[in-house]
Amino acid sequence: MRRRLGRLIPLCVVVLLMVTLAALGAEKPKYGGVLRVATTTSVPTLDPMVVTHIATREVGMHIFESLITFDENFGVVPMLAESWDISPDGRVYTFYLRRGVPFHNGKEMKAEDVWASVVRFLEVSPRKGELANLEEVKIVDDYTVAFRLSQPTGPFLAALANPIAQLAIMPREAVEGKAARQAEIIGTGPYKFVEWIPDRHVKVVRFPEYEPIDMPTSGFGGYKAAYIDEILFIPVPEPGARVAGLEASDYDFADFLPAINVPDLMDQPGLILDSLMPYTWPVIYFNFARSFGSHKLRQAVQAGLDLDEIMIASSDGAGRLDPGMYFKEQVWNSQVGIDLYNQKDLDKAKALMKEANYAGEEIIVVTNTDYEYMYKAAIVLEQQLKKIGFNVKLVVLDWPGSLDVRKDLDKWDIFFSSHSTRFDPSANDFYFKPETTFFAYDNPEMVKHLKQGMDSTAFEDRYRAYEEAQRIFYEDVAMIKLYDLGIWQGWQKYVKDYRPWVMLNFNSVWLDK
Amino acid sequence: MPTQSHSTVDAEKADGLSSPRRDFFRRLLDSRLAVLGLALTGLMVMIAILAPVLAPYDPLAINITHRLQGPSWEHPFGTDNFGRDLFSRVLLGARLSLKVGVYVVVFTSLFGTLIGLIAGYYPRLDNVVMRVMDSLMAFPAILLAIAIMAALGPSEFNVVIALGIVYIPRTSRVVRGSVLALKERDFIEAARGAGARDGRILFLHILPNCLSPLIVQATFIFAYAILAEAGLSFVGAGPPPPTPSWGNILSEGRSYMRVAPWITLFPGLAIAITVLGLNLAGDGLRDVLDPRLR
Amino acid sequence: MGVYIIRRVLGLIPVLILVAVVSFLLIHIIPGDPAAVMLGTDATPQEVEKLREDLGLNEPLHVQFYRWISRVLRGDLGDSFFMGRPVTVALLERLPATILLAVAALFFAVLIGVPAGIIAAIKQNSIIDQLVMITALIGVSLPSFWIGLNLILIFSVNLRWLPSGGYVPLTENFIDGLRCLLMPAFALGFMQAALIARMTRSSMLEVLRQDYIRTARSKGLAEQVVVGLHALKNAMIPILTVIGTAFGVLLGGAVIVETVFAYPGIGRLVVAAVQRRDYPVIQGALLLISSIYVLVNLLVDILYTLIDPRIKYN
Repeated sequence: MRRRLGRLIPLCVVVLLMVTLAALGAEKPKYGGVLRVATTTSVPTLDPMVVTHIATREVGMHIFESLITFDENFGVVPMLAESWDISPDGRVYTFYLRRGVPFHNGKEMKAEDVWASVVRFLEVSPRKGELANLEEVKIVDDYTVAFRLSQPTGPFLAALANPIAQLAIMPREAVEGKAARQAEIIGTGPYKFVEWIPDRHVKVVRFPEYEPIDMPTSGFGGYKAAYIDEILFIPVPEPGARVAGLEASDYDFADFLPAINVPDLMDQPGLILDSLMPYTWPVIYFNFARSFGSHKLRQAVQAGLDLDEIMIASSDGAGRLDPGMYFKEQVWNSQVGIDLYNQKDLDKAKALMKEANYAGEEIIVVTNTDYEYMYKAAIVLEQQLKKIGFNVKLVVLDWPGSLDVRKDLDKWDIFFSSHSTRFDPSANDFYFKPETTFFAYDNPEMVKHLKQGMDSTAFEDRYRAYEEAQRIFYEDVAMIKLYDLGIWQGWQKYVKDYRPWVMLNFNSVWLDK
Repeated sequence: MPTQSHSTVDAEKADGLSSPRRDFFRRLLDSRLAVLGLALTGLMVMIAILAPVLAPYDPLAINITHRLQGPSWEHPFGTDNFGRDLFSRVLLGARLSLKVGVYVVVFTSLFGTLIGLIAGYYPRLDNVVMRVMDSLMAFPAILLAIAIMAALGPSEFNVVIALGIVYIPRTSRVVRGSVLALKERDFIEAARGAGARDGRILFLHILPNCLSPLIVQATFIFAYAILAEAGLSFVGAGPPPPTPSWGNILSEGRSYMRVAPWITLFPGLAIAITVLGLNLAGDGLRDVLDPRLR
Repeated sequence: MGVYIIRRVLGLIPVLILVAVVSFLLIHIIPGDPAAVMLGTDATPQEVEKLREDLGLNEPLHVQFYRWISRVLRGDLGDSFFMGRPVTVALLERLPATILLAVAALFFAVLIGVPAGIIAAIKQNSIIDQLVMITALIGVSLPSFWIGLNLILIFSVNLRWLPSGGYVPLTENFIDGLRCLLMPAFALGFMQAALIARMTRSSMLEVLRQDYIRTARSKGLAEQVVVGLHALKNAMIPILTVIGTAFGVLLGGAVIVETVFAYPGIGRLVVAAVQRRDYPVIQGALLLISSIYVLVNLLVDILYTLIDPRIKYN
């Protein structure tokens, strides 16, 4: 008996140990595997600086890193720079680089690479205007770079951190003298570029020497790891094909699933579905050079719209109402103007329309079929405008065709578009400045607030400025924000630790199989 | 003689019987499938004409609370994602789809005939004209239509032009072939000998004799046009919404195929029935008008 | 024979020149600015203008045409605006996929269409004949994307037998490649199968009625020999014509099926290029597909003469 017990005790210990290990194992990421991701669209190029295209930035998220980046609250945090100083006059930013960070080509990242990357960015990037105040980039030593500005600039750090047409830090020899799209695809990120077969896939593999930053993961920032051997980004433009492919396990992950199929997919035991909210906000622009030059007439539209209805039909249930020009999740969100948002007041609308002396002039509403949510919103908007009493003509084009019409202020009255996550409020300035607007908007008071936001560096000052801008946005009825659109993403159960946030990001994701 | 086709039998029987017109109808009625085809086509045309009267609802009226309902007494074909009544939309869709079909037929018949007549009758122009037609034929039909639609911009009228350009070479080839054959016939020689002018010969003597193959061809082009309209709508190059056509109802419904299959089912059936009807009619007409081609 | 072929090839030149001119002009009247599309919604007018300049879009049309055509003659179709790489490379990458799909669809079409047509012709007016012909009629009456969408619903989503889309080169993995190919090839080939069946039936009927067949029969030749050797051989010409046309239709008509099945062929490239106003890609693709179509038809014409020496080479 004792002998048996004697044997049992070590056995129990072993079992216990195994159970504990197994429990720990469930938490502990595994290495290996291939992740097949069905995306919505093909990459035009992998050169991260030169296009704002979503596919380029989503793949780039895994290959490239910038000096600084955004955390969950859209605050700026270190990435390749471990810290930075700002001179008292707000004109010189000095960045201290992390040491021992290797590029995919084996070379260590140093100040000259940062310098070369910035120089190229200023030549080829569509966002180079955001660095217009940059006078000089100086290599102080191998691990220190200084940026001198002509004047204090509120959005400067956001411009460096912005993942759209990213100021990626790349090896000097990969970018120096390289025209747009000609850069070698070499970064410091967790994954290394292998091949791009247009319309078939982009393949990236684990970069074993990846050097993560020693900070908790948050947003795009903090600790990242490459657990997966190989990620394939496969463009599957037809939404139905993404749904079917996910169900048939042809893909491990599928982006932008039609909201209407989500309940069905949720019933399937092997799948997880979650929404990436917010993704974008659909908006209508008014053409101030035609009928909607009348403030009263714009107010009539603002008063009469039923945004709930528009949201349901347009998003199939993946929407939410919020008046903010910046999302609830962002530090810049404000509820100013909520009284004027989604009024659903048909009588008020009709009264305003009468006051505006509207005499049945044709209202041309331009939408497009490339973005289904804009098209669907337009179908409902058309009916609502008719109910108020507008004489509406709906024009449905493809996106480039609609952009072409938008250029000609004689050809449209209402235009559908949408605004994705703005990493800094200044990204919206160009709509409202008379020299850059495309819908003939002109309000000096608006410009004053925008300038204040641009020139201040303290967060509180900037917040107040943009909150005022939002107040004017609603009082003027400069545009009408419709709603916040989320998108659904789905993945197989064995895909672990994926969190929907702003855009596809599989850094630190692992496969349990 | 067991392998002889009945149309040939009919043709032989018909020799020397009654007036050609009565003969035509009798032979046509003899072919049950052709009658079925004509009946189906006629039914669809009637639906298209009467659609505004037959439709129980405004096909554009939105009712969000009634969205995505399955077929019921209230909505025989169910509702779409905007809560619009699909029965009304399919009825009204018949209008646009058939309108596109008819206009394409008229467009191709007019220009195709003219081009075919000229090319067939004037050997000097033949080469040039037919080379142009060949190069149009060389483009894959749907790709060419997509490119033309992109160039002209979306509108019902432009769909007709795009498909018209795509199908003109077919018609002109058929007509040219007939003209080439007819030109050598005695009665044309006789007319020419009697001093008739080219225009007179072309339109009074040659054209009437090209009509049979032309009518058969027109029936098939009608069918192609309806299918092509659906295909163009599917890739976003069809007649622009919101006016319903079968193609754009189908195309809009495809994201809802799994939760609301009725949105794609009914316009799909409507297309299939109409095209089937036209094909049957076309086959029947060909048998009757031109037994050689069978 | 050789002279005939040379003459036919020379005859293609004006056609191809016309094709080039038409594709160029057509594309350049499409409204929408490639530069504006590439830079996205947030670009300033100055940036758009700069890009237009870089892409050479500000030059007069005839200058652009001259530059394009002189490059084309040297076998260079220019660079894609959107992808920034040579159009020739982009097209050649997708050509195998498209040709594979077209061949597979044609294989289906011939495999189903020709035997169905022969059986229907031999058993004319029987139940089998009627069944075949009605199926064929339904086949030509259904939109291919409708067939495709329903195939996905049945075989990928419900039964999970086949992948819902995609493309694997046969050389990479033969089985997976075939699995990807099956549904699109069927969706694409079904209508052509119906057309071929109808054509086969009617040309067989025509031939079976001829005197020499009756003679062959009366000489007591076995039915299989009559049908197989004599009738089919002579019915081959119209059938070949249909097959030749079908190949062209399949090459270009694959656009829609490629979209349904996320199949990376040339058709999808063209649709995407239209959406992006990627002029060089659209022009290049139209030119390439039309050239293939014209060449295939030439090949068919030459085949005629091999099958039936009575056809003269004029």
